[in-house]
Amino acid sequence: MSNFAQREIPVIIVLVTGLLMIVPFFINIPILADVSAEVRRLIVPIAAFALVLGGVDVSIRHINKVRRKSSGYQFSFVLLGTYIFFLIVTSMPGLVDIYTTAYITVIGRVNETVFSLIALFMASMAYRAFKMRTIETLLFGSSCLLVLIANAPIGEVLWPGSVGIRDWIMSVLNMAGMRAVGIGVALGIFAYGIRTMLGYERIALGEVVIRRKSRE
Amino acid sequence: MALFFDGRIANMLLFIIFNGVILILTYQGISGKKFELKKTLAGLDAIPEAVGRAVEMGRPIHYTPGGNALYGVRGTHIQMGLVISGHVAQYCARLGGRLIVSLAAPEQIPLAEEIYRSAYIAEGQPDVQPDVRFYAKGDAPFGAGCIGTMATEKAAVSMIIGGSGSDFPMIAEGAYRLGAFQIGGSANVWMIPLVIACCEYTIIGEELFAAGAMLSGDDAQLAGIVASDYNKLFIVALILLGSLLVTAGIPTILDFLKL
Repeated sequence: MSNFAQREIPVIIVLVTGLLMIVPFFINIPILADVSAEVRRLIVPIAAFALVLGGVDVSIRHINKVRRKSSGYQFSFVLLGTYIFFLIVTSMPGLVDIYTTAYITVIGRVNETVFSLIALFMASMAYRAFKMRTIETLLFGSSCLLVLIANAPIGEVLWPGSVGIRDWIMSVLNMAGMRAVGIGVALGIFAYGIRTMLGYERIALGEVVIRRKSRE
Repeated sequence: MALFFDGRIANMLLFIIFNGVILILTYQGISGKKFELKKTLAGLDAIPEAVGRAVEMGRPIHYTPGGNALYGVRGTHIQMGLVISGHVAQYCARLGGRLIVSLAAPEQIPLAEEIYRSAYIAEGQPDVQPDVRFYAKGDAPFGAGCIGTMATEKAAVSMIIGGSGSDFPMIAEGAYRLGAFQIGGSANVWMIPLVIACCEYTIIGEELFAAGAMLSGDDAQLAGIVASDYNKLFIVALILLGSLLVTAGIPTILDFLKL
């Protein structure tokens, strides 16, 4: 494949697609808006292709694991069984009820159980984060403690003033910080978008960007 | 029919100004102007140290750019996570480390495998196959999958850089309990406090988007970082001026932004 086809055509596609998304947002040209909407709809079949690819990748990996009897192959066996079971029940219209029951009673419950671990993890993280060694961690810990007191139902009963302090922390200090980070991220995305549209950032083509440092 | 949408004219002008600054500086970078950054990112600088540590211990490095979709709201964050993972793959190939990458969105798999393949080829190791693992989408199953992988493979280093959601606390806490050295990165304002609380080194907010340019070392790309700083100065000036004018009862800037 020529260098033009390999390197330039993808960049042209990215540039045109990028402009197709940006221009109709600001300028009222119905035909451009229609084309833009049509391009956005292309995401669905592309994602469907990727989903098949993901499914095949998972199957091959776990079939190999079961065949070689590598460590934890029993889990791979369960995974493949579940995979085939759901593939069958979702492909046949008459088995929708089985799918719904299996999903809600098994996967839904397991999902909730695993997700509930976050509460424990957050508490453990908070314990580590609240170790006050510097002025910054002192401020961080104090503001967290104040918000925690105000959010707990008993906190408001014991100290009604905590609600006002919490609201001020959340709507002034917290909001200012979040907006500052948000503006920085937005500007970063602008720069990243330009780099991509000009063909400097070639992540979409699976190319690694490190050139100079790799030769240091 | 109006050519411009009401309420988006000021947005468009600001868009043109911000991107104009980036384009002008990028053009200067292409023309040969050198852009030197005054500081580097501690999170990026820690990557060789982390890979070296894992190699010395003879244990793998676990990396995940997060469980979100490539084309979703956090798509750009995931892309930057993949860019940085390419850098990690290069260091792994150079130092002899083993990289395990966990993904939850199927569309990331071919992209990621291609990135690592090109990273290994760049380091003269075309035979190394990338170890990319796919887990079910959803924060709980993906988080559980990553924790399971780190535990069974005894990962020495955990890197969660990209567009993580509530899978972040699960993976980070799992890694902490396994005693793994952690580098975290997120531009998600809700996750930044968790990144700071959990990880030894961090890449937060706009640093995530500057990382790709910093890794390339290319002046045309570094120009984007400098341009972002100029744009930030412009926004700060606009905020200060707007606040002063509104306080003085002159809503000119406020009216302009409503255009």
